[in-house]
Amino acid sequence: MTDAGDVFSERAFEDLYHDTFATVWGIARRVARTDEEAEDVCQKAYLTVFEYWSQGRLREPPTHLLYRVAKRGAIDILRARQRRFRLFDALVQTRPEEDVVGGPLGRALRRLRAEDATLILLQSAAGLSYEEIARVEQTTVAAVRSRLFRARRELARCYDEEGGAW
Amino acid sequence: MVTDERDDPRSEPLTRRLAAPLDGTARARERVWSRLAERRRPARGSNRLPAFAAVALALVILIGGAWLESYRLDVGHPGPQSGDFGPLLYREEVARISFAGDATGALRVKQRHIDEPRRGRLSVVVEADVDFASAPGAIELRYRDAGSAVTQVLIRKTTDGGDTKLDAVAPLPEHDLGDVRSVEVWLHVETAAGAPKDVGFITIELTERPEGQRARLLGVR
Repeated sequence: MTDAGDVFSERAFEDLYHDTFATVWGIARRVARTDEEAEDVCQKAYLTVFEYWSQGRLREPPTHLLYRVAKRGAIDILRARQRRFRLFDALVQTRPEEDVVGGPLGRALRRLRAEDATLILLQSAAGLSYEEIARVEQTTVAAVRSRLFRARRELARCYDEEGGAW
Repeated sequence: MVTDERDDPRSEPLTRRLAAPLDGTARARERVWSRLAERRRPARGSNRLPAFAAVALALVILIGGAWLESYRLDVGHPGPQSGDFGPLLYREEVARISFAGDATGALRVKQRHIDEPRRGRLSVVVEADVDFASAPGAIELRYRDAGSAVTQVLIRKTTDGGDTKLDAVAPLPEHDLGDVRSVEVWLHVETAAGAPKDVGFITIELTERPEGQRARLLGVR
């Protein structure tokens, strides 16, 4: 990860972008219904980092802020989807091809609490360790370990209920 | 990816599937980078030209519109208090109604400046142009407060000799600052051919403001 002390430059920002985009995109696109929705999340995350970093207001590695803002964007999308689902249960049918994570696994992921789903994505899609997630989330490793344990167990349960094959 | 040994073993393959790379990542990377480039540049002046053009266009519309008299712009117009100085933007013509027959013409209500005694303050003015089919003829600009049966005459004009054209201009009377009232104005026409008649009823809301009188059209009949 890029260090907190890294001096901002256009080049440094571009390097950060190319090093991390696949991860941020992986988180955002797995919860968004469309590419545009995921691009909005990515754009906001990178613009936030750019603003803080270029103004010298960044007090942590840029990746930490980046993943935190991306996760917040993903949570917003998930909550909006869950709200829509509750409100228009039978009226609105999401087109299957819009979901990158389709089938029982996608449905199970979207049934989780938004915070839990994005935590799982930080671990799986971003490949972050407990320690890294704890720094991104600004919490303790023990708390991350506990939340991830519950989230993964819930994911398996929902997957089962959605008829997923093991 | 790090997992906990206490985890439900069934979750492991699920999270592994979530870690699979996504199609279209490279295209998305290019698209988002383009969007970022657009958003990160404005402060550096590359977009100052459109902003300047927008301001210039707004000024052209403002000045052009004033020149065409579709509205007027006063700057530093004196009111009773120093705080009343400032730009005033208003449409001069509030209402217009035309009529035809033995007398043909138009009745207009305007908010504009007139000469003394109003010392440059805005006045709501009633104007009429009438062309009679034959002389003689006479007109009166009349008004009354809405709901009142009392009719007032602002001005009366009669044709001179064989002339068949008349025009008349008269401001509505002033009231105390802050006064708001509904006023109906119309034209009383007397022709050589027929009985007198009233035409062109216009109802306005008349407001006394620091810069003078302001009018708002309420209706015509």
